Amino acid sequence: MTAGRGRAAFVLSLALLLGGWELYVRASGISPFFLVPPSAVARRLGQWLASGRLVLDLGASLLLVVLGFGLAALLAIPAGLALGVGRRLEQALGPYLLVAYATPAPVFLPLLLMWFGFTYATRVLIVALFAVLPVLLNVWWGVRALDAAWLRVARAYCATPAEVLAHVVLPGSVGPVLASLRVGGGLALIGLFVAETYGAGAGLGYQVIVATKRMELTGMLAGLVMLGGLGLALEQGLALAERRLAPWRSA
Amino acid sequence: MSAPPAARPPAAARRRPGWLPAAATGLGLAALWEAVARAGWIDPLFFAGPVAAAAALVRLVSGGDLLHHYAVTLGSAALGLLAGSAAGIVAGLACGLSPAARAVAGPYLAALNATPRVALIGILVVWIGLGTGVRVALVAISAFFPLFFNTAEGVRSRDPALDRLARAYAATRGEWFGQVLLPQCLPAALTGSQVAVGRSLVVVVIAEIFVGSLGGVGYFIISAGQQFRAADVFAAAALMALTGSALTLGLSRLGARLTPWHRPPTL
Repeated sequence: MTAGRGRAAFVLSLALLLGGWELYVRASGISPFFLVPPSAVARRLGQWLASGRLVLDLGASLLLVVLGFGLAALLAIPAGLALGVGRRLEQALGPYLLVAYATPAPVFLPLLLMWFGFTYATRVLIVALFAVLPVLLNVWWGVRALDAAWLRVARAYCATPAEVLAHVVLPGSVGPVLASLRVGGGLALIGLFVAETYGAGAGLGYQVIVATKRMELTGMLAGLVMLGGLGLALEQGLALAERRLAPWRSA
Repeated sequence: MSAPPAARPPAAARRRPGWLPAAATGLGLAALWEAVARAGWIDPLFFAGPVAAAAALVRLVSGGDLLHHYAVTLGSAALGLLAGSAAGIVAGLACGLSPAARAVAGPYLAALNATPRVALIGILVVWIGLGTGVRVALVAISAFFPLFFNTAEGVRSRDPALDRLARAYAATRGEWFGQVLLPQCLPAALTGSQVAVGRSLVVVVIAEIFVGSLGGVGYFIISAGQQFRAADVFAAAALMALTGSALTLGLSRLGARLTPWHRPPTL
């Protein structure tokens, strides 16, 4: 099957799905509490766009992701590089990081809420909390999996540790770092949704939460569509960066 | 190019110096943590040292209070994990083998995968109600994807020469499936199951925080936080840390046992 026919099959299935859904809701007269037609969701998105609500929410969510995910990357990438290169550091801290990584991140949520309250700082930290360890561990393992032969060559040519870092480890880490950011991005979005539960006044997750509290399906689905779009954009953007900056890796 | 296996030092020689620095940092960190807790800078409402946390854990476990919540959490995580993994493996085999299935289902699954699953909670509550079902469904959706992607990738990256070999020896479809295909996707599926276990614990705790009506560790920990019982928060977090670590370690041991021919690239 060619790519073109595959795409055609997908578009056809999407049209059938949306059309069937719309027809079913209209014909069966099901209560809007349980199911709303896709046209209602589209209309809601149109209203949000017209009122400026959509831009506001998207902007608020983007800012929170950029700050929280940026903070996580800022902490995790240097730490992961250091652990990947430094054998001593790895031996001393590695096991604890593995335990922290295996701990479900939301158990730390009450501590953040207790210490910082329902503030913006808490929301940024929640996003960072979900992403920081997955990024750190993936950078660490990615760097450690770098071909040991490169390091031996560098050492054979009497490279100083700084030279090894600048010419072997950093260029070699571009791929693992970008791959780890892709893993972390999805988790940062989970963090975004959780964070927007606590005292946010705008955001895509906030809209879903408001609609959930009212048990209003149209708003939930419209917010979900936007969250999914944000997630896809984040993932595709990071995949594109990986192909551009580390084209030798098959993303 | 990689070094021949013989060039690696034997496992014992590599491991022996490993635990000593780790134990030293562990003791140092615990002492620092305890010192911070005892220095009196932070109100014990907000912070607990390792001694207080351990005492709280013993009290909560022996009192049976936390154990009830723990059983609720593990129960819904296990149910969701089983359902999601089974669906993920079947869908992964289908999409790995059939380009048509991949072309049609792929975009939907990619979109759902990019959506933060916890945001589905409201819709699931509307459709399923406030019971265990919401938690199980959310865990199942989260566990599905790692298994799906890894199994599909395992199927697609299989060695085509082995398929030809099976055909040359007139293997039946069942023999090909069980003896050629499955062993080749097993390592990837096991890696996926490790990710799935981690995600399941994350999602079940979030679900319990949002929908607390049936208890669970997530419900316990968020209410302990709201009542500023810091030692209880630390104790419950430690319990989940032990659980997550034990499950991850167990699965990687199981993976090594089940697929001895496969050497994972990390660790």
